[in-house]
Amino acid sequence: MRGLRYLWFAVPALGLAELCLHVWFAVRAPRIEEWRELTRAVLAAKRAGEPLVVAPAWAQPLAREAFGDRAFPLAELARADDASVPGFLEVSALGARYAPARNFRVVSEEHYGRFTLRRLQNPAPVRALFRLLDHVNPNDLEVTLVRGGEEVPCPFTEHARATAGGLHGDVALPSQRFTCPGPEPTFVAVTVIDDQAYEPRRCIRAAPPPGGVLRLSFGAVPFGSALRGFGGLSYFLFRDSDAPPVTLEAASLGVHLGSYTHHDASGWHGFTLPTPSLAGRSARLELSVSAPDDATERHFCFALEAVE
Amino acid sequence: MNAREPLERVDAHIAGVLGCGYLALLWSGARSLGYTRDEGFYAYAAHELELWFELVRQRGFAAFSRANIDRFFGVNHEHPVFMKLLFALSHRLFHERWQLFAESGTAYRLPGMLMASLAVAVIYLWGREAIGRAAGVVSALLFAFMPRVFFHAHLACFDVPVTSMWLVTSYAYVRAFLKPSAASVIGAGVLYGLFLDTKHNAWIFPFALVAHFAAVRIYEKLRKLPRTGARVPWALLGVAGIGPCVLCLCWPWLWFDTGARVLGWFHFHLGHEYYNMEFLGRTYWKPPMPRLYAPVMTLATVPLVTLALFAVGAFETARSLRREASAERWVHDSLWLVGLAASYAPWLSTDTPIFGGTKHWLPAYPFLCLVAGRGFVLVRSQLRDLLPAKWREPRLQTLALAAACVTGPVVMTLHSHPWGLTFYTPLVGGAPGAASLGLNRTFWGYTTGALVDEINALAPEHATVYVHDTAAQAWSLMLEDGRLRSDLAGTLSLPLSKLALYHHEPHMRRVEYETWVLYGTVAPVAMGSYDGVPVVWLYERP
Repeated sequence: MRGLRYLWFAVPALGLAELCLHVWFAVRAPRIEEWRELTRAVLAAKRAGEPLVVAPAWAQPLAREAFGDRAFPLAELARADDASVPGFLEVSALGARYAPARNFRVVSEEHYGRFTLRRLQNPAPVRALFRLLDHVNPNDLEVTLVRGGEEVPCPFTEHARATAGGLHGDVALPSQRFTCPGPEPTFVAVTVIDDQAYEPRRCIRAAPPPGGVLRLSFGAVPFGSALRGFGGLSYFLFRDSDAPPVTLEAASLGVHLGSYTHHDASGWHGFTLPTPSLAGRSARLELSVSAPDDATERHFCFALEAVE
Repeated sequence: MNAREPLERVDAHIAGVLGCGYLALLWSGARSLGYTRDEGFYAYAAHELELWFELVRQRGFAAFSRANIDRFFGVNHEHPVFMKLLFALSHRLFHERWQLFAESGTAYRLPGMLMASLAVAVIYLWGREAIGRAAGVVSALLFAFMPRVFFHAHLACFDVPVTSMWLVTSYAYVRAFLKPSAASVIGAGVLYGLFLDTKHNAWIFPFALVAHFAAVRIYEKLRKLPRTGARVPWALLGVAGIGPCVLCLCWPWLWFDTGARVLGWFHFHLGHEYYNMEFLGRTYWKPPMPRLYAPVMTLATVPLVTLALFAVGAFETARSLRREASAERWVHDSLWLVGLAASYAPWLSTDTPIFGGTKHWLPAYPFLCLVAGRGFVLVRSQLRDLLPAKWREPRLQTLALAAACVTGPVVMTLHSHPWGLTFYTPLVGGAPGAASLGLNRTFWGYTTGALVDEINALAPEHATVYVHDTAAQAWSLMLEDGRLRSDLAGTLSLPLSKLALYHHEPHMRRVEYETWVLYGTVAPVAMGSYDGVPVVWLYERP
């Protein structure tokens, strides 16, 4: 028990230890200059279609500033999920790992200063045959709006006025978009929404107006075993919403392939529409996006791909 | 130096040195700190009050008509006006009339910095009176060098002022409780009125005093000790009776429709909107709020040595309850503990908003540090017995122990500036560890101040800059101060902007995604980071 008296020294010792730890933690994480020095190695290792991931995730903005857009194509950065990527290039600092790829095989590993560069291979990637997001253009897609029994075309423009609503407003709509005429025009365009973890998801914004159905018709889609998709609305804006759901229906060659009904609070949500009868064929894919007649602000956004 | 000896002249000098030193330190760092959203709103409200001062000068009593009171005091009337009047007065005198402060914003901030310095001085005086001189100094320094306190102490806001007013009113109250006189009782009451006129935390104070009064009398009864203070709780009655009158007198907004406006004040804060706050990787925006928020954030932001001294002090106080033969010590200690508990109590409810982070319970910290002063004394006395005789020189030992306990908080605090809300203690791995744990990195949009050089360098002539979370009024202050180029305009319209700021909070990321789509780039051109953790960044339209 006499030895316990010396525990009083723990208080000043704690003060000094805390000071030392503070200094250590303050210099532990790489600075922006170190990220910039890594650029050449990263760009040399970067392969198209193989997203660059950063661990810890909070350091990603530093990597984006240092490596630039070449390392982070938006389609890879705001991908629908990780299932269909063949692998990742991981930039790791502080010993962190990109958690969703824990079960991926480490193909190579190199050390650069305080960083580790790893090439990770997806053990069972889902192979996408056709990503709708890559075909939102007037050559591959026709958009029409059906309202009151009338179907009107929604022409494509490349020079519309881009819009963005800020924190509490609508998502960004780029200049390149399909515009459906009406008292309040409806747009179909590629944008990025926030999912339930506030992560970015690139998607086709197709918001059906009240009483209207948006029809999207993609030509010559090579079908596989299924259509694999995700749907959502900006989670921040609609996380408390109990508004009527949005329904996406798919059909091809006059055959109904299935539908997905999205409820706002479920965030970015996955679905699969089996297409075994169409596997191996190319055909037009007809999508209808609708909501109950009185529903407003149904800012639905989706990603869909035909998979093997 | 024994405790509970009357204050001497030298104590006033020490308090003055501590207070003035802290004020000088705060002032020296004010320019490097950007303006928070709330500072923008309060500066705007203060500007309206300056117009009212002018009206008083020009039209005398006519300025006190209902129309004029409603017009000039109606801005930001959800908060009382004491500090805003001081902000206005400081700006008018020190910036506009005497031009002592080149920056308009620093003049607005001066009253808040003075309040922080007052708190440091009063902690010393109270600690000196109740514990001893060394403990008083250590308590004051532990408070001054809490990184989050240091951050908030710079601001033209109400959080540190209300912390200071809680402390000062408590100190006046305890003196009036122990030696009631007309002057001391009225003084405590008047101070409580100003406390009420500072921020709504003051609503809790009378309940805390009732709990304190009960704790003191129960202790006296249990230990069969003679009663301290008067039989009638004059100080408590003074606080409860005089305080609200002073509030009504000093807050002109309440001069008309008093009942409805007081109720409106209560309704606003009791039904306050919930804003978003990240905690342990999750964003909370509606009840239930996490009950662990206050304790975990305290552990993650207050230096551990301060908390350890507090724990030892609390132990010592509990031990003294059995040993002491006088209730006077308990009068002090119980008021500290009650003040601390009352300041944390609202966050026991899962309905209480957490959007302001640690600032919500800042009033607890002076008391935490005073109890830590008790801990310091106990540790010192225990170590004295353990040291070899030749090392027992009391002053040297006190100095060495104080240095071991205070150096860490001083270094951490100075290092935290101007990233006060990003700072976290080593207990959670510093800022990088906190980012990995999903603790909030910043809010209030003040970190724009860290990127003004980059904005000034990159922006084309007459460019508009998307300000994101920075309030328009805070942006205007930076323009007025000359921190930003005068040709630049802030905007909340991303499509109209040439540069776009982004202050990171998870729920705000959608704003960054809008920037990606509109600007066609995901690569920021400038980064504000703290200890390797990105906090604020800037995009440039290609």
